[in-house]
Amino acid sequence: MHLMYFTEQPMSAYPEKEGREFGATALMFSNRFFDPAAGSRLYNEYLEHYRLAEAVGFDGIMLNEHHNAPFCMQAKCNIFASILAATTRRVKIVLLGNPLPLADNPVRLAEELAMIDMVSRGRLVSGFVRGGGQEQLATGVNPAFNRERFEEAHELIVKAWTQPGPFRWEGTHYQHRVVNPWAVPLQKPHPRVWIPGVLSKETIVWAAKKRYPYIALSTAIEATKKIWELYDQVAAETGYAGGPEYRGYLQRCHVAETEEKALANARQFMWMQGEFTGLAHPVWSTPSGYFSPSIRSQFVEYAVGRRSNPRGSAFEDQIQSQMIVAGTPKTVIPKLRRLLEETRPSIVGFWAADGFVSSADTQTCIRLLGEEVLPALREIGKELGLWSPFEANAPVSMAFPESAAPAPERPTAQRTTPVEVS
Amino acid sequence: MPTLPPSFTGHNTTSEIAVGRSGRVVYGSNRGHDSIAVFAVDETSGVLTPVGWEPSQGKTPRCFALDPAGLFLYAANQGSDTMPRLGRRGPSPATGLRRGPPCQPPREAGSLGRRHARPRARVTGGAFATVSATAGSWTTETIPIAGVAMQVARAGGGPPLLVLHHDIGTLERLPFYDTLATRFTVVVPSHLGYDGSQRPDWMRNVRDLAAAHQWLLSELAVTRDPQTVSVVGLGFGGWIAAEMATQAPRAFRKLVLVGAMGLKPDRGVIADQALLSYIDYVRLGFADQRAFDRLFGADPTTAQLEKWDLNREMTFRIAWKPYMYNPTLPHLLGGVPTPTLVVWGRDDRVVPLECGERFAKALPRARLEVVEGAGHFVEMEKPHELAQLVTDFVSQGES
Repeated sequence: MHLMYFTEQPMSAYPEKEGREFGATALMFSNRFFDPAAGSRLYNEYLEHYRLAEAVGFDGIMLNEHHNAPFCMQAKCNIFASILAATTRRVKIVLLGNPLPLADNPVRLAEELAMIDMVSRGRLVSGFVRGGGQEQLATGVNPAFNRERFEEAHELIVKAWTQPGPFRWEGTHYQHRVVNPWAVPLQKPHPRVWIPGVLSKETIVWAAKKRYPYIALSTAIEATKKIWELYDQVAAETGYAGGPEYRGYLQRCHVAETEEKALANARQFMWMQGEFTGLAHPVWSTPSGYFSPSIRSQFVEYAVGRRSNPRGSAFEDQIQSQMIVAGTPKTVIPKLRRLLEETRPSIVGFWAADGFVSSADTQTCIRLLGEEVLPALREIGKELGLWSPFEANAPVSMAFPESAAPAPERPTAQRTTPVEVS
Repeated sequence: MPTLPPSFTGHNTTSEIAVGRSGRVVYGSNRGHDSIAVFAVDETSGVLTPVGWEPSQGKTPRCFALDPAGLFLYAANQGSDTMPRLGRRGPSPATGLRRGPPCQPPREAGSLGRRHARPRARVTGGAFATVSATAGSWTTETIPIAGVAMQVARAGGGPPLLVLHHDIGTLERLPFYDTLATRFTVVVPSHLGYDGSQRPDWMRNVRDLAAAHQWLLSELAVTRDPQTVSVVGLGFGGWIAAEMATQAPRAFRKLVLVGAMGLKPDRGVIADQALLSYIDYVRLGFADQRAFDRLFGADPTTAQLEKWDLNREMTFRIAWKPYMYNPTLPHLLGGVPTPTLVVWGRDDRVVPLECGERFAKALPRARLEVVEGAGHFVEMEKPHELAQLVTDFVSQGES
């Protein structure tokens, strides 16, 4: 199994009353409420949490990015990836991921990612995403070409990573006279690419055709099973067998010393989902052309307030459906076993806390996960045969069907002990 | 190959298929959309391109057959127990330039007929245009422009008037159109990618739409004479009309711009629909909300919302950035000799009145009329006043 730590990096240190009054805080909630002193403290707390996660035994640290939104203050995942490349020594740095359509120069992304891979000595997993609806507006990128740009930028980046330059790129959305980045990834044929998603069918099919692992982001168990049905079907049509090494899952999971405290803190997961602050404005989160045309009528009704978010549900329902898991290590392990048994992922991200959960409680959660929950899950993983892409030495993609060569062993003597976690 | 226009979202099943005698056209029936889909066959590659949808004039067309000459199509409508003869017009690919009359000729069909004077070596628009008679004197036809099917409605008689609709598309019938049709031959195309017209995936800017409408002007017999045809552009359609005028200043006689987009305001901004719901954006264009309620209902249907969404998506595809203006347009307006009437609603909250003043100043032969009590959608709020302004201006100096 590959077990990762994740936080959305919430920026909850703003006047809550202002956020509630404004409503949907993603995109237009004024940054005059952004307190950079609190921001500085929080960024450094999050760095501490990442280093603690490595110390207690997580295999990977999962990073992401969003723009113009209190629910995620990480505006560029490559910046945190760069910091972690130099300040951690063992964990994989899993970017889920860079929003490709937002890039006007994908070659720059290819360069940055190659640098991160080299600095980290081959620990990069480079996921790619389409970016949220608001992000298209925040960055001025045309939502109507979101998927086309995603696919073309991906092709360009993989080519820049794997084919010697200089070459010229005359695409539909990108044109480059000279592609010849003087930085290439350490891992061969290239860093692994994992594709996170919520439910969008097109993305699942695309990932399966590429033979990229798909990371289901906190979907309900039954919905997750449907994702794997579709993925496996496309995999079979494409010429390989799907299975655990292609399956990832992001689990909201808060662990505390008592059930009551765990549940109280877990309720903060609703902070990000907008129960407290109205995260997603129905119009801004669904710009025309961005969402799947197959569910156009649902989204247009959502956009004018005639139906609730097709993806949202209440806290109690999410506890019931295990979209949120909370408790002591003893009570969460059987729930996680159910997730592993029923959906058979080999990659599991633990989204440990959100909203206003204190740094101390987050650290307790990370310790309890690392010391008690992860060892139990590794045993269950062995019992169920849930081998990660690394353990299975799975190919990186359909384009490179041979087993991936592991990155060269790093000479441990050169490295100093990572910075102490305070 | 979908058999339906992109705007149709209802339930549909397909049924019969037939290949025209020439082998260059394929027909298929749509039960639900209640139409016969018409496809052109590329002679070399065999690839199909949809060129139009002929209404089946009944419910659930199942079997159909072509007459031996390939001029008519008989469709058996399962749901309405009718078997109408559907006419095809335009030069038939099977028979060169022969033209069959439609079974229900629209009023003045002869004078409205499409140009077909020159022989065509390849399969293009003229070959597969479809036409159907509809309520009143309005007819709708589908004309291939730039490889996709453009839907064109028209009515009336007299000098031709091309009316270009807003970014939100248009209702099929408006009192404004009907009033104009008492005096003019009114031609209302759906912009490519909007309402009933197919989306051109390749299209990237508003000048492409302007070029497509120039193409339409030369395709239609009724509009190809630059001495008689005039153009009325509404809002976003006004921007297209202004681009047409800069591209081909002698292609039409007179120009009317109503609340036109296309110029960057100096002081205000053009309202950004990306931040507004479909309903709020359209409401913003009305000074009097009761007019919105009358036209769309206080709570528009989901089908209407989907139309607005499709149209908005197309607007994003071609006018996302810079949003709703072309920075080069003001530099080119000075070369337009066309007499122009610029009309603005006093309470236009979508495009500031200052843009009207700038159009009137930049165009050498323009004057500005401000309509009191109207917002952006002058033609929906003050249809008769606007029709009067247009009629007086266009008729002036008519031979």
